[in-house]
Amino acid sequence: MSTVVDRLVVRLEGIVGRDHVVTHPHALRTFESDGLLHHARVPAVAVLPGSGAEVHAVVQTCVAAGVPWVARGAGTGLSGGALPIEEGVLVVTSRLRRILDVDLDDARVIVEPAVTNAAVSSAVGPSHFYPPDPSSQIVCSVGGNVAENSGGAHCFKYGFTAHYVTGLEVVLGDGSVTWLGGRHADELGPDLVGAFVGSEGTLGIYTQIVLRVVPAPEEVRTFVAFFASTADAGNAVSEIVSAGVVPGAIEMMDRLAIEAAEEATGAGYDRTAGAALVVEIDGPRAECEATLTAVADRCRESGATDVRIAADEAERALIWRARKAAFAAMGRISPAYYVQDGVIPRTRLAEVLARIDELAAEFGLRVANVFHAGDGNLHPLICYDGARPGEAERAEQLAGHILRACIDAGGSITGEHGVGVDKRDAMPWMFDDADLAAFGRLRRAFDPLGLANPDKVLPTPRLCGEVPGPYRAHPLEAQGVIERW
Amino acid sequence: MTAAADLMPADAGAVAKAVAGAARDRTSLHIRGGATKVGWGAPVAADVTLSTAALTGVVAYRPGDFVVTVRAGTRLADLATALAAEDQMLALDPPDPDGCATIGGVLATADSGPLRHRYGGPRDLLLGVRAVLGDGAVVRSGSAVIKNVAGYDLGRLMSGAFGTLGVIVEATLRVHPLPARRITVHGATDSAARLAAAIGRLRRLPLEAEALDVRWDGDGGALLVRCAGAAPEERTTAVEAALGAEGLAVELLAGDADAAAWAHQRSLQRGADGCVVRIAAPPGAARRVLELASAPPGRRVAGRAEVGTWWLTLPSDDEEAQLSAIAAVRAALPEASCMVTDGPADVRAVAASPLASAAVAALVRRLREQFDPAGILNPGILQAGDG
Repeated sequence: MSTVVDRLVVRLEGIVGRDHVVTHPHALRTFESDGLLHHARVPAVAVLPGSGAEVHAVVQTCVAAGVPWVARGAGTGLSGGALPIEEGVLVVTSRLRRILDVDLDDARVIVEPAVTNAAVSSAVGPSHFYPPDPSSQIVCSVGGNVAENSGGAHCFKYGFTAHYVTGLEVVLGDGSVTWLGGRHADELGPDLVGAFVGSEGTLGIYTQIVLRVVPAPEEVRTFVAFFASTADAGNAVSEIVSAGVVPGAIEMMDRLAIEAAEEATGAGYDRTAGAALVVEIDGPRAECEATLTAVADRCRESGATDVRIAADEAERALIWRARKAAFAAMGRISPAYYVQDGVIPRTRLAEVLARIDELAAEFGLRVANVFHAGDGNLHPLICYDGARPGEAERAEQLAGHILRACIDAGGSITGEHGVGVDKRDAMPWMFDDADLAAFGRLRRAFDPLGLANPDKVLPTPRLCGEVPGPYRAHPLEAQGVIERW
Repeated sequence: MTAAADLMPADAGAVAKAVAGAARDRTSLHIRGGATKVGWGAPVAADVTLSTAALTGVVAYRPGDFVVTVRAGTRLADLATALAAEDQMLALDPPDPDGCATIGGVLATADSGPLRHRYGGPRDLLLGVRAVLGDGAVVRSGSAVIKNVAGYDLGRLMSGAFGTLGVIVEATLRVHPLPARRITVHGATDSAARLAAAIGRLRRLPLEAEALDVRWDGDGGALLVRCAGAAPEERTTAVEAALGAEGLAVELLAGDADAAAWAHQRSLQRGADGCVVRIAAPPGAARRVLELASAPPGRRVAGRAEVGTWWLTLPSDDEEAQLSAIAAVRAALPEASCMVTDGPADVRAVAASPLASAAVAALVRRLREQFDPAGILNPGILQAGDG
């Protein structure tokens, strides 16, 4: 180990104690990847601070040594945003898991960054809940959600993490500490909190996060409708939302995804259907009932072959089980898969799905589609067999072409997984040089030394030792604890 | 109304050229849209005014995607007309009595109205932005889809920056369906304590109200709750019961009466001759805000009880008295974010800055150095000496 690192380790041990500094290469391998497993790097040292003050001191130590650092929460991110830097420090927030305050008069919860997403709703339920619900919510950390501006199935109605963070105590890239925003919403002046949310750990690190929570809906009703084709299902979604209805969730699955989900769950989905639409309506009781009837009717008018409205909580859970199992279930119909995250204007759905079919045929691979239909966030799952030479590489190429198709349709390269290292090089597909330069300016204002997660988000030449490759299952995913969408 | 602007470029390219030229010559610019909020923040000492009012028109509107892209000088009122033809709306309803407020001006000042309660403020509805930075660079962030996390959110950063980080030339916004029906429950009382208690009762109800506003004006106050959708009656009944239980005099308003009540409520966000303190406070501070508004006499307040956004009007008075009143308001709400919108220039020069701390001011200064290195865009409007 170099003397620079040796000296750094001594200083870090002085801050957090020897037990919370990891230097053994085998132990460090625990942190080599986040949820995007085909990127892996071992950091020089990992440090696990136990308080906000320790985080502050750790960052100041990195600044004094001129060493880059990367923040890591639960490590469930899907774009390599928490990929370590080999010559740098990995700041692991996992010991910062206190809920500091719950105040239902203010409708606010203050948490440390490693508190899990699901723990926030648990802390305020059953009267209130925290709406952003990424599928990994039982393990993913709020700090990571803030870094990625996480969404989830319910964000068409409820919005994203950015709509729920009102204040952040941050340590900026230069080692200074400040509060941005607070318990109040709509901080006056430039929206500095808003700039921080979704910045993927490149502007600094949070030590306290103030979240807004909302009253739980009085009623939740769920149904699944089956259609002959994704085009028909897409038309139904258009009919629903153009009628002014904003469902809590509208999720679509195509035939291949239905098949996989049925293999895994036997939830009773119609395997002969070309598409399934899972719709959830929530809100005040009378509003909910009136809307449910109207929406179910729209589905039938749009050619639904069957509409099954859940009569009770058990039936509702069954509908969601199939939907939520769709990703994990792909393993039953394919040895491996590559998941993409792209966004399109919802009205161009039919055309983009047709393009994906065309591309899949061209590459000789199967693609299953599962997506948040309300907001046009696609998650195509590209099936491949890693044992067949070249197939993994073809899958990755196909994923890139699908992203291009999203951009061509006027969409985005990522709706919720983030850019990280994974899509850095796709940023110029969406933004020109002046735009990227402006992003660089913003970053320099917060992190003038360029030490906070320096090689993420903005395109840079590929680093040595970085080997892109096909998807591997995250251990938590293999255990069925989390999902990948 | 203020004098015509010196520069009124007709497109983004012309804005870029004008700004680049000004940066070269170190000519400071006072940026404006419809000039309806030029008295907000600290007075700007600029050489030249640059108006975005000629940058008008809808660039793209896809009703089925709930997304519209407009040039920054487009008037809010004109956009509302275009959207209403598709039974949609931009859920931004700041007071706009003359219909001159522009999209760019509303975004830059982060102005909002009662619909803020349900739909969020300008920064929440802004999906993408195109802006001219202080060196003339034309940049874009965000996208034209509802969900996007690629790149930093320059739109949010510029929302509330009062033009100091760039001149907004185009915005892509999320729009919403116009609700099928709207009914407002109006509850009046002469007791500020009852008003605060009624807010507390409503807080726990799962109403999904479209707007929930409060005011105190002179001797009395009111709570306005608008329920919208296919079946609002069930909720208005619950609200009536909650307000009645606190002794408020309740009436139901629909149609023109609903519109008139909300127009009046919005008008209270402006102070014709007083001094207005815009406050962003935690929702639980509603009681303290109402206390500040009910004494001494001559004050009034209007705002969103559950968001915590308030406009407190102090009576026209001598400037010393106004300054000490502003200081007292800040002291009574130490956790709130405050700025002065409307009011005598001398008062605004001293008390207008919304920046919460020295650390935030330093960060904003660094952002200014990056986005406006010559310091020519609205210098001094957010903090003294940043030009």
